[in-house]
Amino acid sequence: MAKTGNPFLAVLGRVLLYLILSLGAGLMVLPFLWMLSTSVMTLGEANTGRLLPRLARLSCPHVNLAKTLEGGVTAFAVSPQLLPSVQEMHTDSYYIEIQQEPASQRWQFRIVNNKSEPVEIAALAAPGETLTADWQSIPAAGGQVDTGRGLMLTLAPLGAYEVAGRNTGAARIDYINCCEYPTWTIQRELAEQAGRIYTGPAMSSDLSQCRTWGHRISYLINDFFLGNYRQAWVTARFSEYIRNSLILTSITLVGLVVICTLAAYAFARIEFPARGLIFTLLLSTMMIPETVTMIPNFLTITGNNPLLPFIRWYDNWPALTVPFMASFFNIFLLRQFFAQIPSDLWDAAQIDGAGHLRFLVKIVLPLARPSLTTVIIFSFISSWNALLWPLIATRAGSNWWPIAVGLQNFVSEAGPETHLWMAGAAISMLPVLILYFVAQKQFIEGIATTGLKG
Amino acid sequence: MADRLIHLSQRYALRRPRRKLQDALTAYLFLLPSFLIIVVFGLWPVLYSLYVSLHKWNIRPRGSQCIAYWFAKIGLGPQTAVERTDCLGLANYTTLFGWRDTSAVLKMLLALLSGVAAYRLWLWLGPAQGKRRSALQIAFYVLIGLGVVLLGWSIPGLIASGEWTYLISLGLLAAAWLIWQRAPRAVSNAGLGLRIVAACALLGGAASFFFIDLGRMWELGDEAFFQSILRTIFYSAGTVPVQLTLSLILAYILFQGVKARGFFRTVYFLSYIAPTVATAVVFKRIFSLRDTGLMNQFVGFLGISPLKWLQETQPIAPLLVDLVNGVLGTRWVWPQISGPLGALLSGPSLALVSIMVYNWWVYIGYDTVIYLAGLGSVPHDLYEAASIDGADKWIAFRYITIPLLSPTIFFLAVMGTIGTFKAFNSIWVMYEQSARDAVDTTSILIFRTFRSNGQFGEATAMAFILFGIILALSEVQRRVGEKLVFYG
Repeated sequence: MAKTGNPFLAVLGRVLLYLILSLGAGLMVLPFLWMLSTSVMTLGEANTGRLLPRLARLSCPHVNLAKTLEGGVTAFAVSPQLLPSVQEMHTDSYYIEIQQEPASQRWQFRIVNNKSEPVEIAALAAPGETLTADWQSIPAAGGQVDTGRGLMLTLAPLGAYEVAGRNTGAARIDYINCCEYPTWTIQRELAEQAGRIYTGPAMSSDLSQCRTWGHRISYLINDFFLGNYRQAWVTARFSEYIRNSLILTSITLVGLVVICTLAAYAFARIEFPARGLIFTLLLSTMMIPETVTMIPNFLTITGNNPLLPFIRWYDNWPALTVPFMASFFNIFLLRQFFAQIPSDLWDAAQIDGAGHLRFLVKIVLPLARPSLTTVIIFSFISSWNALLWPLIATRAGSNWWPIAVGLQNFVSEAGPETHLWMAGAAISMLPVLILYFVAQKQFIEGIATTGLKG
Repeated sequence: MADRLIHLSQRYALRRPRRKLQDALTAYLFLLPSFLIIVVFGLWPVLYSLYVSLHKWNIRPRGSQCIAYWFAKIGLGPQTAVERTDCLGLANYTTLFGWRDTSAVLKMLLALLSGVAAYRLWLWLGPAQGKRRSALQIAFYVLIGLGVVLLGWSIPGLIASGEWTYLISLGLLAAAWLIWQRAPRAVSNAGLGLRIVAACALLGGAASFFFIDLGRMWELGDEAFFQSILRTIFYSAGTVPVQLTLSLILAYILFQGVKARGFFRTVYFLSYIAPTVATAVVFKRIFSLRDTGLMNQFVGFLGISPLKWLQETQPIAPLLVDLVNGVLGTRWVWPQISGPLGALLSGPSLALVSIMVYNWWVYIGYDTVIYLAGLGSVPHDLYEAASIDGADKWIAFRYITIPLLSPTIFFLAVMGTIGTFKAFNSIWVMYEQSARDAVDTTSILIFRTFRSNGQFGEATAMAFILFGIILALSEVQRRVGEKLVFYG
């Protein structure tokens, strides 16, 4: 630091330095933390702009929340674990709509999902008898309604709904999984009353087992932390996208390593006619932007290339892998390394009767492991990131969609379901981040020496 | 042992021709797969898209293609190819630019090209000797003659269509450049000053005529295309310098013997390494237009009312004026200027600025890491010597660090500029329907023209113009770099 001679100033400068660095680091990490935090929220929490999920949710709350409806209060109880039949209720948000019926001026309510479609609930008057999506009238004294969908509704007395100038309103119900509310018991009772056979999971009516630590921990892991991830994984097809990406990336990497190594070896270690010419020719492709090549390449893979009409790879894996297998940048990188290997080794190998291929596999590749790792890491990332070409080379809803296209499509098709978006984004980052933390040194040194990502 | 080696080398010496052939065959075999792939998916597309750009084309043209059309024109094919053709010639390019008298403008451009070529030849003429020299001389005069003929041929058309302003702006530009080049040869300081002033004045004149041209092209040509190029320029100019500066500061601080440097480096690098689509999705929500979005909460903290961010189509200048009005209670209004000047002055839309902020976040870490590598290679003795000579920190930074780091800065500037001109993924992901065309940079426009409108010919024409711009930019940067960069 500056030789001010004043130790106080030196310390101050030092502190300032770390402050700036930490501020920078904080800004760099903030979006990731926000993503992780939002990915365990409910939609309601995400939309109210919270930075952290409600901590009350960690501890299996008995009653979830009360939403203020401009003076009126509606309170909702919460439900137990997922039933297979009501799985969509897990993180969807539900709204209660309240209106004053124009004819009779009586207050009514119904529950709608986030697409404004009414959800069937148990009729208020005779619990358990019928499920209806119609408007239900609110009794003067308020009361409790079992929606029959794993959600208990506590209605405030009528006076609460007198909202000046408005006769409709909506409060959001955040659905929370918790083991305290005995829906299954009620369902079983309902089934018995209606003479149906109860088909839900077997459970005792003893609720104390819900309070065990095992149950709480499993709730915490399976529902609190992984609930949104599971929904993204299953309903938003992320499992499929990840699988596709893994398959496509592996094929690309295998092909790339073989093809680029061979080419790099030829350029680095074999004298042959027109070497410079071919090298320059291939080098010139590095400048060409993807926007120029994408349209003819689309024509090529759809069988519209006048010279190669037999290539029909559209919406299939070769279209998504083969074009990435021979990037000149990788060839160049490997060539630089191969050229450094002392030629004594080649002479020795020759004397021992080895040909080029044998020399390449037995001597050069083991020596070139660091640069090969760099190539593999960056090709993995660029393959994982590829968006433009897979968008072009596949049809909508394709079975070959990699994660980047899947996520982009999910984001543009689904509504602003922030919590699920963030879960999806986290899922798609995970493999790359794991790789980054495992091979961090190669990453940073690779980039510092080559200066490029795909 | 030695005997054996000599023996072996003799054996190889005898077999050399065969060995050479074998080597060459091996090399070609090794190269074959990558060569095929690069040619099919990297080189062929350039030629083919050049061909496609001459057509009205959707998957394949309905009528005859250009080759058939041209052959039929000179009587080497069926006449139906002439009657029913999708060959447009250069129309895809010329409609983009909205030239009134296309042939005159093209003649003028060809004249310009031959002029530039003649100038290159002139530079080569200097050192050339003997036969080579006379050949070059002949070529030079041919080019000059060709240029003059083409120019003279184009002038009546240009005057008739009112497009003579191109000539004026190009002429002024050339004159300014010539004077600028020769300025150092002036004998006196006054002469030098005069020349520089003259060059600047000519440049200003060229710029004003250029704006007249641009305004006309903007109006008659494809406005969406010009807008997209302007947006791309905004995007590039709004990201690259900011990133370069901020990350230089960070890297310089990190280099001051900070403990836990590895930790900070890892953290800064995270944003670059994480998949683009995923981080763009995160920022799409951070820049949500809800009052409760993270960015709106932040500006709310600063006392600014919520903004529409990615969905805001308004340029930032009027928004800033509104902001100032809100703070000062004034009632200023941003003037409505139409055409390119207005678009240039009012700046990029807030939606595009939001994407720029994302871009800063992604690339600051990357630039920092590269800077750190560059800083590591600056020899420490230099700093010691400077401190012995009594240089303070700032002087050492300005006169040692910056010059020795200039290749790194230059590299990052070039890569950044090219990258922003090619950028697609993040913009595509962060695009919101309600932003309409506010974030459509040229890459996005090309993709839309190709994908949504199925206009392959127009899209390839635009792609080629973009390619040309990228090439020209990297050439300009290379030249500027040659002068400014210190390579030790």
